[in-house]
Amino acid sequence: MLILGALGCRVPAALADTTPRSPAAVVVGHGRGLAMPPATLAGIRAAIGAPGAPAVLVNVWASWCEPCREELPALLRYFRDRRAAGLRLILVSGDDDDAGKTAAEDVLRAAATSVGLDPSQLGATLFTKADDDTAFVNGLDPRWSGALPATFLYRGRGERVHSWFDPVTYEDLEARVARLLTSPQTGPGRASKTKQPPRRKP
Amino acid sequence: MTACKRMTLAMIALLAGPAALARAEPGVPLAIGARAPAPAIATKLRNVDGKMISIADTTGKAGTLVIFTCNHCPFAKGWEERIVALGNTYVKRGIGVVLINANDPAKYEEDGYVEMQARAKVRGLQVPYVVDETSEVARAFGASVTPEAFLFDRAGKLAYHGAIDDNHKDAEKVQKRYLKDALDAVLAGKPPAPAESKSLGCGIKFRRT
Repeated sequence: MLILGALGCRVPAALADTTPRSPAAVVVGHGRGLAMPPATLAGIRAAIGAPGAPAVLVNVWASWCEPCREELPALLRYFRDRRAAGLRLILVSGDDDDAGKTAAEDVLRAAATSVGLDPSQLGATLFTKADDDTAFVNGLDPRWSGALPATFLYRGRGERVHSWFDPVTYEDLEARVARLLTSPQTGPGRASKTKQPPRRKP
Repeated sequence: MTACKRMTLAMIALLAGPAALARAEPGVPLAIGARAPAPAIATKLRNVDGKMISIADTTGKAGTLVIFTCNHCPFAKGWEERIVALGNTYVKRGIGVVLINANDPAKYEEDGYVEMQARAKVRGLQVPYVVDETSEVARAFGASVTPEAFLFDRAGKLAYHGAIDDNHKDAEKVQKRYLKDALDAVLAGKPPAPAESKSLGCGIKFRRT
């Protein structure tokens, strides 16, 4: 839903986020800074299943979670390198109060900057969790304990193909995501529409 | 064989049952209805008072509550007062209670033994808070997040597993008192509903084997 909005497409009513507290939270991430509206599991699933992405990564994190902060640069670097090939990134923060949201934005801004991404045009879909924990955790993967961070990989139409219950590395992601991407990989030495910053070691 | 040793073996048998050598699959918690893994509940663990005790030593006549928690995790901190209150209250009602810290303090100094002692004292904890020095007890239970509660009924079978309640930050805004309701159900001889719940939390920082 959010990606459709970000791309300027009309958002089907059936995919609209039903979160009562934020009726205007439709388009975020791309072009909207680091706003993280609350989203229920249904809203997150709608963003996962929205057409147009051969691979979708969903990362659940929190600003106070040290392993989450440590893996974030690698996650964003991977997104930077593979988004032209169609990778969609959804970040769901567990920071559900105002202070937490501010902290989350600061963490995300710093991580994005560190890998050469413009925080104001991140291109990722950003949420804060607004659903019951049990439903949220089991809804993403019933094998997940709820421990942060966790990352989930989906292919087209929202089919989950892999879950990581530990921090991920660039290599972890490449090993699973690359096969889902239909376009040639974008990276150093390859032709791309936009100039990529020098690739740093993960 | 001393009377104490006979009692301990009886408690182990009660909690562990026929599946005495079983342990949860790594990362997969004990199933509802399962008994606690025998080697794990017999393992002596250092309490904040310096004494060595096992989960079996803390078994209650009405049930046994094991909570994996720690000092550093913001979720554990948010629920800390409620964990202490529940432990202190229900131990008086026949539920054996033990808190277990399986985290490696090399990763978070705040999870060290000295801080455990300080936290127990400040909070007025009246139940054991022990160190799982190899993280093997946590692995045997299939525990993976802090805090994570395992409540066994009087027959030694797992009756409830999961979160303390549905709001780690604000006790006043809790809507689902999962663990308290489960404790009351166990005391009444009824199955808790729900029997399982989940919450976001910190992964247990397992010690290397």
